Amino acid sequence: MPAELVSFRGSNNGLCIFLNCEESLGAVLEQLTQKLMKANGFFTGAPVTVCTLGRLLSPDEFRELVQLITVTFHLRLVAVDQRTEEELKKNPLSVWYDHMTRPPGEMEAAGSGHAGGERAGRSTSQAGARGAAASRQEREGARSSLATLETERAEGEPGAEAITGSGIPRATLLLKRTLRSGQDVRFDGNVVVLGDVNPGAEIVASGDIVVLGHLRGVAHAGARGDRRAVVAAFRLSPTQLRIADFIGRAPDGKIVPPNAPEVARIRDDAVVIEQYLG
Amino acid sequence: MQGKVYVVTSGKGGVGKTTATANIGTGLAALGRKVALIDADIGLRNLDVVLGLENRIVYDLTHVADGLCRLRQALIRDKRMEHLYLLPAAQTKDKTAVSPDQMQAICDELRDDFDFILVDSPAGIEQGFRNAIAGADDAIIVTTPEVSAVRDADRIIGLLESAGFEQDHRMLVINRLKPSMVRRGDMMDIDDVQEILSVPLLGVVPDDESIIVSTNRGDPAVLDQSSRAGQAFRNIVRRILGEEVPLMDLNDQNGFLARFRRLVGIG
Ligand SMILES: Nc1ncnc2c1ncn2[C@@H]1O[C@H](COP(=O)(O)OP(=O)(O)O)[C@@H](O)[C@H]1O
Ligand SMILES: [Mg+2]
Repeated sequence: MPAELVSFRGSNNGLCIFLNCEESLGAVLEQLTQKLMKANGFFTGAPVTVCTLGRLLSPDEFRELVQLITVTFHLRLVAVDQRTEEELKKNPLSVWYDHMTRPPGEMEAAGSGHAGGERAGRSTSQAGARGAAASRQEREGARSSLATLETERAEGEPGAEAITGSGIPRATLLLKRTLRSGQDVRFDGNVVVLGDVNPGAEIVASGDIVVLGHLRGVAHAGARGDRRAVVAAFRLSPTQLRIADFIGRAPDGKIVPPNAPEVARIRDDAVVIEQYLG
Repeated sequence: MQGKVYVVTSGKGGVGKTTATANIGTGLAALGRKVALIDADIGLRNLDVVLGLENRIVYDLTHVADGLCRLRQALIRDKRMEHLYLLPAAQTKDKTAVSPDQMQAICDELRDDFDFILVDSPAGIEQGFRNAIAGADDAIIVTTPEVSAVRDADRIIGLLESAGFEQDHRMLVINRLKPSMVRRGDMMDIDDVQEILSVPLLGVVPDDESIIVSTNRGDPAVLDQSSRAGQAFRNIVRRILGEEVPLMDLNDQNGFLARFRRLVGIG
């Protein structure tokens, strides 16, 4: 009789599947397959959250899991929660997308706004000066209010870019919901939100971030150092926008974004916002 | 018929949860519904004060939870409304004195005897909040039109979502709106708040001195026909009972000049 590597629990939000974090993922997924087969379609279409209890999945492992859940067994994957059992216990009511996928060796820059501020404060004066210079840079094609989006350079981590490059295919996480204050998504791949990202919410992705709604919270694209990552939104007025090791923050005071989709990207060492032209 | 349980909640303190609970509850009872109010703000109880019932408290929520008295014994009958009862909070204990399971059991027991059960939630997102929502079917989220209150309301709505409160089980009350400030652009207006929270609007209550007067007297404003906040709460009550009631015109001042202007058609 093999040890229990997989356990199921029902909740208001649907099914929770807990995966043992000590055994090999292969063995765990094998048992998951058997259990779902035994359920004989009982869970088809059910919303599920998979808790990895602290195991951090690589993009490939993530894809394998998603494939198994959604394609093989036709469950509706709501989230993959990679928090440890302890973290789960501390905040059982926590939203479902909290700390979903923490990329292994996640850059510190992906920390909270405060941490970001501290980092900027601690950065060398040279980097600071460059940041200030960058904020004054403007580019053809960039919209005029761009000048007000101050760009700062967080402490340089030159090695970081080497990890990724846009050539690498990435998993994409699709969220059909509005992210509210206090909810955050961390995902090793691209994140697409079909909804708003409210002030106080945060998305950190190693790839691109696309919001088909109003982005008012914090977005960090290319969080593992990919400076080619972009943040696009139907209405782009983030509290703070980070791409790789660049930080742009909203100008103080009220901002009214134009009534059109926009894209933020890095050009010439500054975060610039441009109209999205398809 | 089983009664329905509403939790009145907000995240931020001081936005008007207790005021809303007292007024909505009293308003429902005034229309003949059987109503039980539960003060889940253990340690900071004040629903009893707002209702003017403080001097009648013998047993409280924690006594019921611990089985030290029967639920019936702890319920205090309102001094005005025949069908309104209060289950008071303990003042001397803290939020952990009651568990979510116990709260749910109490709410469920009340369903047999009451049409409406309103739970006044404490501020915050900790155990007190989890207790307050444990037995509820629907949530009434109260916010003021201030950025910080709206932010906290948004957080609460997220937590309600993950606790299983679907879209049609959440509704919003915007409290303390000041039309003059909105007109000057110094306060968020209803649309600004709705843009972020996107929760169906149950009502908008103006900032009104009569609330403070009535709170001090222990006499809910909803019973005061001349109170504008009271009118807003009466509208909310009717909406809860399923009536379509348009939002009242908050700009309408009842002063002589305004009435005169309306009379001659220039206002
Ligand atoms: N519409 C209103 N107009 C004026 N004062 C109000 C209004 N609503 C609430 N207040 C006052 O605001 C304070 C906080 O209200 P309360 O209901 O106790 O908030 P909470 O229960 O959310 O902490 C009280 O002093 C109350 O009298
Ligand atoms: Mg209160």
